[in-house]
Amino acid sequence: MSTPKRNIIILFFLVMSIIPFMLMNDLFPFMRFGMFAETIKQSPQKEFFMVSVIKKDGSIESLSKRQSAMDDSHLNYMTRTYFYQHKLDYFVEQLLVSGLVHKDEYLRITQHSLINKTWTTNIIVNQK
Amino acid sequence: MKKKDTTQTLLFIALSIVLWLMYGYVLECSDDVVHQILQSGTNKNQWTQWIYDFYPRLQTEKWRFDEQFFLTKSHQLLLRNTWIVQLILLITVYWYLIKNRLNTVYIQTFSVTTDSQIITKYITPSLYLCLGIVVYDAIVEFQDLIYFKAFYSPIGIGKLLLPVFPSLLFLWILYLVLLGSIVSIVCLPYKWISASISLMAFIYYQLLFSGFDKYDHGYTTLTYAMLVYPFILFEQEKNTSKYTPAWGIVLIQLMISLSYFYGGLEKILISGWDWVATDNLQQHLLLHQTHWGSYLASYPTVCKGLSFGVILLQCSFILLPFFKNLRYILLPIGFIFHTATWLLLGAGGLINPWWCLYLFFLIPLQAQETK
Repeated sequence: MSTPKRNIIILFFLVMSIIPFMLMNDLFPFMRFGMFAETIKQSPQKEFFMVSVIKKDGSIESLSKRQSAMDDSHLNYMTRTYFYQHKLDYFVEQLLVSGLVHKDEYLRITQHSLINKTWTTNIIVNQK
Repeated sequence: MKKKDTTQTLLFIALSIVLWLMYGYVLECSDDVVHQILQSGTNKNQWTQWIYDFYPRLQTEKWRFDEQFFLTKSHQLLLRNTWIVQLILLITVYWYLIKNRLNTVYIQTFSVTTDSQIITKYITPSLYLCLGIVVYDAIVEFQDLIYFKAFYSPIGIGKLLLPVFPSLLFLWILYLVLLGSIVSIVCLPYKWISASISLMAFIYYQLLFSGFDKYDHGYTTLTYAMLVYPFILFEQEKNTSKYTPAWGIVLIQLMISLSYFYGGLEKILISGWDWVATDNLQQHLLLHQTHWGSYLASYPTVCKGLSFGVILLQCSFILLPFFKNLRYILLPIGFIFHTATWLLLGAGGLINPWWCLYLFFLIPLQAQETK
């Protein structure tokens, strides 16, 4: 490959790598690396949403155990999105018809908050 | 001082003053823009919609955090852009002074070669085997993602390219295409074409997954390697000698190093010394609720030491493509860092593409012979 072509390719990659940093946003496939960069100060940063299923015998199982695509962390992220965008009803409705929750089971969504290094739990959805 | 130097210095100072005055003006206006977006509630006009399209998380976060949080972010955004423009100004104005030095470093860094056999026998099969495994895992996940089809909401470029979630049959066909292209890379000529096909399949999978709210940063460095690798294969095919130009290898090294470096820089710019000095890591550990993380959280001094170590490691990585001997220190620590992130925070897995790609730092490179 000629040197000018090579230089353009190198320059392109270097410039594209800095743009997400400048715009503070991912520009797929070039990414920003802001994970864990925020110090945890505000209370919304200290919460975790858990999606689980209450089985017929009363035992509780995390929804992440029933499929491999979404772990607890991703489910937390999705639930948070629908919760704060005031679309939790839609989220619950779609989960109930998804086939992951059986007819005789309850879907439970809990909001866990870390206050003074101790967890408190608030049930926000408990629906068949 | 020479007359030219004085002129350039005056020019640089004048342009810098203009730049920082503009920064001050835009800073004043940005506070109003942030305020308006936050006050708009669920109402969206063309302007706010454009901002939401670019920053999809803002739609959620504006309900979570107070105004100050977003003001800090917008100030940071402006500051970073002003710094970059300032740097470009500096380079442009003093180009006549730094040109030769920069050129020497550039040639020393990128004008290297490597043994073609190493690429053919070890690097290519290892890299594409890694890709095959990663995408197989993805296909297994896609079978379950069907349950979440209703929540598929593509972001960024995915909105344009993948507006609807495809059928499982299509995904399996795509996987077969990917496997075919991987086999072609190893067995057939025109390897760079096959590498480009597998790259597209890999990007397709990532875009599809990002439709469920976020990009998976675990594959970022692998994506960078995949983006550059067709050029390496192209160079190798065009070159019949024992040694092949290895600028692509150096570019991959640089992209990997930059990924770490930006990670460290983000922590410094967003949180500053607080990232180390406060109970930040303890809070992260407690929030992620892993066995080892909860155990470590009870040792605040160790947490502070580790926080400092993380920033030091991430910022040091940028030196790696230029000082090869650092690999003996940074790569083992990097491996420990990723394993610890998995054990303490549950992020990533035991086998992590980030450290798998350290392979590129182990390839022996030699200076290219000048004709």
